[in-house]
Amino acid sequence: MKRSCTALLVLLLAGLLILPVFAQTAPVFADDTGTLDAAAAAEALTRAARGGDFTVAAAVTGNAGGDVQAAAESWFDLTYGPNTRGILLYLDVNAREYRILVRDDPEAETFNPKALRYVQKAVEARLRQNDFQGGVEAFAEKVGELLDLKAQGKVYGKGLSLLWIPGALLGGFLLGGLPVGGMKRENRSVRKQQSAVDYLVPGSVILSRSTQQFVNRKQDRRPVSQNNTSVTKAGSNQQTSVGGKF
Amino acid sequence: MADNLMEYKCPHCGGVLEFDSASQKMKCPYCDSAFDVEELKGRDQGLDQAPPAEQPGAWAQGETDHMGVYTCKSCGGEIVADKTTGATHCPFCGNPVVLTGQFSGDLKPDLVLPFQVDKNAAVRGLKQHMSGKKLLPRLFSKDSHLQEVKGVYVPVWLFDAQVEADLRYKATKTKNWSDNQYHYTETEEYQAARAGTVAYENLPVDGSSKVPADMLEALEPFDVAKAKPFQTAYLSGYLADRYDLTAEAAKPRAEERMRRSAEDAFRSTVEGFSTVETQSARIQLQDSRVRYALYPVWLLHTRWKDKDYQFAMNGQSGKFVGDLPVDKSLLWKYRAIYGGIIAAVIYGVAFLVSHL
Repeated sequence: MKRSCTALLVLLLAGLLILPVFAQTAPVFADDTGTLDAAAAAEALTRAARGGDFTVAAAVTGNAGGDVQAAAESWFDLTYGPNTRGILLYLDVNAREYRILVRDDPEAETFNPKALRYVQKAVEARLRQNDFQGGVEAFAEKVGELLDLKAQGKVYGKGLSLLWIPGALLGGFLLGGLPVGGMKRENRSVRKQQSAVDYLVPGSVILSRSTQQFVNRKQDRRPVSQNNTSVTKAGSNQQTSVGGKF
Repeated sequence: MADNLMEYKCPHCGGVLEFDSASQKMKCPYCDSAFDVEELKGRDQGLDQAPPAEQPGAWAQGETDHMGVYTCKSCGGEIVADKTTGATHCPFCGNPVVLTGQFSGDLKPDLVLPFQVDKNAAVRGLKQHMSGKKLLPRLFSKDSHLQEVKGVYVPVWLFDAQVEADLRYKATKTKNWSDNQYHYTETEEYQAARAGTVAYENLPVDGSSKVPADMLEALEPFDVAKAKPFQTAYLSGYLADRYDLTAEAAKPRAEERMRRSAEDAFRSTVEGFSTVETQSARIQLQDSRVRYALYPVWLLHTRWKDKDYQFAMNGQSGKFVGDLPVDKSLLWKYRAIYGGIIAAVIYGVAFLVSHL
């Protein structure tokens, strides 16, 4: 009995010692396809975190099929635990589908829907070109920008930039020309007639030939951008996710 | 001096008759007698003959190259007029005169559209034309002086033609749909062809270099159904010119308008497509016929800040045209007002969207 208790105590102590190590050493980048430059990606993601306690991670898998959302959540939970705050890009290259998963305080606005769309747009543009490395790096770059804004006490998409003032004035000046142009045209009434429609003899249009031949058919398709944002509870955090096919 | 000049004397008092647009009759301004124009038809009998040759006068050679010199039958005064003038007033006694030599032989018009609106309507038309124009200089309507209002019969060529067309088009039909994974766009391309004929009649082209062609076209349409066979009596009391641009010179303008209109007419039969692009068009005019007519136009002339402004009114329908000056300071003022309002709206909308 005493031995068992000692063994349990040792295991508990070992666990306590191991957990922080596990948290600190958990990889920020995983690639089971082995096709990406893992060192470069990990460096970009680490840099994006700006040395803070907010995890910035990416995982690339080649396992097509299944629920990508569930796989992303599971990967995050297994790697970092359910209470970790962070953002994950989960990419299934065979299913050509991705998810961006955010675990953050419920009141945090850093990764609001507009900010996530900003990240998503940059990532998707690269993924559509099959540039997966570029997708991960674009993800890191944009997340880094959002965290920089947070450090400055700002939130992406909230409030107006001062640039809007000259922009609105320029827009007003250009669009204001439309009604004034109409007023100016009112002063001009001497114009040449372009058509002879007033002099067409009624019923005189006689069609001796009216044919139309099918030449060819062309079909284009582009993937549907799935901006289905979902918000759920994950541990002590709020989980927000966006994603889609590319 | 040529002496082919006609005055319509009132059989009752000897005054000179004028055409009255309100009653469509010849009226004596002195004794108010009125006569049907038809009754005076006999006076134009000599018009089908060749115009009389110019007779040598007292003017030096070359001096009257671009002028005609006539003697007023009422006062004997010498009327000096442009070579194309067909009806005018004697500068001495003010009586209306018709220079019949300008409308005889080949120069005789086929049709005349009598004036239906009078001089007062033309002056009122100018006031209406200026009202409600926000960019008109405030002082223009007050300070501009109406220099002249004249009723002029403008010579026009009326073209009739059958247009034969053969056109080819590239047309497309586009269909869009989506499923869970993709947005699809299907484009079907077609080759369409149309051939056939279309007819135009009474398309007018300005026959006078004195009235700007664009001004006469801006006054369209004139109702040719109300035209009368030509009689000089209709000209009495108005000014008139004979043509100085030949039918041959006017024809390309008529053809240009008919071609464009025919292209539009056939293009409108290519229906049910998302886009239609004309690839080739072969358009030929056939059975072209031309008639010579006189159209009624009121010409008004004002002067403001040493600049002339010309206006015109359709003497049949009352349609008024003429370019008005634009006050640049008002133009910038309105631009600033509208620009400011639009800028505020843009900023307000952006502000609301950013805070949603």
